[in-house]
Amino acid sequence: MHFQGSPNMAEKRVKLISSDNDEFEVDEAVAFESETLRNMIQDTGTNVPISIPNVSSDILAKVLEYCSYHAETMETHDDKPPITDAQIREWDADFVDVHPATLYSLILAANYLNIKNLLDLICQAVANNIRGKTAVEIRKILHIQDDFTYEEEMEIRRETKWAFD
Amino acid sequence: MATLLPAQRGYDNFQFLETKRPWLNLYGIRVRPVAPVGSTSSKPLLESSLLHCSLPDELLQEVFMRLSPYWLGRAACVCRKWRYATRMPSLWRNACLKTWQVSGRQENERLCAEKYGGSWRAMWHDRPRLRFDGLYVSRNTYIRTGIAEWKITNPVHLVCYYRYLRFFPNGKFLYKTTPLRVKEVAKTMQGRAAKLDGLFSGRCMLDGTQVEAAVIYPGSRPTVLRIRLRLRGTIPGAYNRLDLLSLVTCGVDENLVPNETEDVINIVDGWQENETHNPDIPAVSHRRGMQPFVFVPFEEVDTSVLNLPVDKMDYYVPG
Repeated sequence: MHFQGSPNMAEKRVKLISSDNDEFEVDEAVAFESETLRNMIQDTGTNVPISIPNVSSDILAKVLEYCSYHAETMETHDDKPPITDAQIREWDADFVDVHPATLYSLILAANYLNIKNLLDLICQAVANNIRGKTAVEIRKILHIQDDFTYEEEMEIRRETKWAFD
Repeated sequence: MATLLPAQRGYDNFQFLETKRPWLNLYGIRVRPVAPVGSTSSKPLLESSLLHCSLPDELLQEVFMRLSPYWLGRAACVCRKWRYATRMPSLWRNACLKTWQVSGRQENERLCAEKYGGSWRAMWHDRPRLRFDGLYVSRNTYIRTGIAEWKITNPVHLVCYYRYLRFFPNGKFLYKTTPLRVKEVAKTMQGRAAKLDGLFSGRCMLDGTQVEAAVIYPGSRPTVLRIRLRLRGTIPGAYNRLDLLSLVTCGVDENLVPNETEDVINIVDGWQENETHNPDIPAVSHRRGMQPFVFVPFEEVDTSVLNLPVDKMDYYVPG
């Protein structure tokens, strides 16, 4: 094993425990993408596993995938060409190309872990999902129940008619 | 038997009232009676709808912040929670300040407080505004006689061309007259003016519902095209039509021609309709191709009926 750059940075690993009691081990730099984890690590150090009680394993895996990619783009390697902004955008677009329900869980996770860029990215993706769709389609995609009464339905129609040309 | 009859009749009436609402089918929307509190049917069926319920309002705001007001209006129809979430004043304040950015923030805040009772949403709805999320299209046709061959046929052509207007929040606009259809033009109307495409850029001013716009045609004899429009909507608040009041070309003093298109509106400001400042170029008021402009949002440029060729649609009523 050999280290590039400063050895004590590369050495530090952080253990994270999801709500399903699965253990994840990541580089400190990856965990530092999250403001919340950064504060926790600075408080308690890297020896103690950090439990994240309100994020499930599959969502946490997804979040960490994002964090490690973006931590990687920050690093500069001499032997590899730097990752361009276009490549990052493409990767991000792939990343959010998931089921809307997953996006919702990701919003909650990104908010809790306080990862600003991820939150921006996903909110934009959800907004893009909503744009160009009718109310019926949105309900279907996001599994939202239509809870309007008949009178409310008529009122809202009158109120928002301008948005429908 | 006799005692059962009134109850039976009551039930029949109930049935009658329940079913005789055929207009509900027209909207393609399921309208369910609201279940009473504590009823089992009010339980969400799917996990993802649970998630939707648990998404805090501030995160829903984050999402709505990234939607334009037109999509906010549509999102309000989804469910109660969304309806109230889309009423957040900051969303409408941002939309208003962006739309009327030419007026400046202080002026907008004053107007909102004085004329619209402090409601940004009311201001968005009631104050005339140009739409920036699409093209205004005027479809014009005229008949041109063809060349008669051997006096056997006497052909006529129905020629169709379009005027396109695209406005930007900073008061800039793009203008183009072309026989190309909406879907072919939409892409070229995105950014800067390219003289090669016959795409001209100018400045416009919105005063009430009156739009005063001016474009400069550069060249050895600079000419200004002045467009006067009236803004209206087929639905209150939609502002999706522009009536073409007048279309005048006139000469300008060559020394006064601005380098950029910035000040062209100020030069012609206050001119009479037939005023020209270059004796070689008389003011000409155009009388042809004055069909009202219809708004086509960018989402609908490919599907708009205005794309139909003349053999499919010989006359279009803008409404």
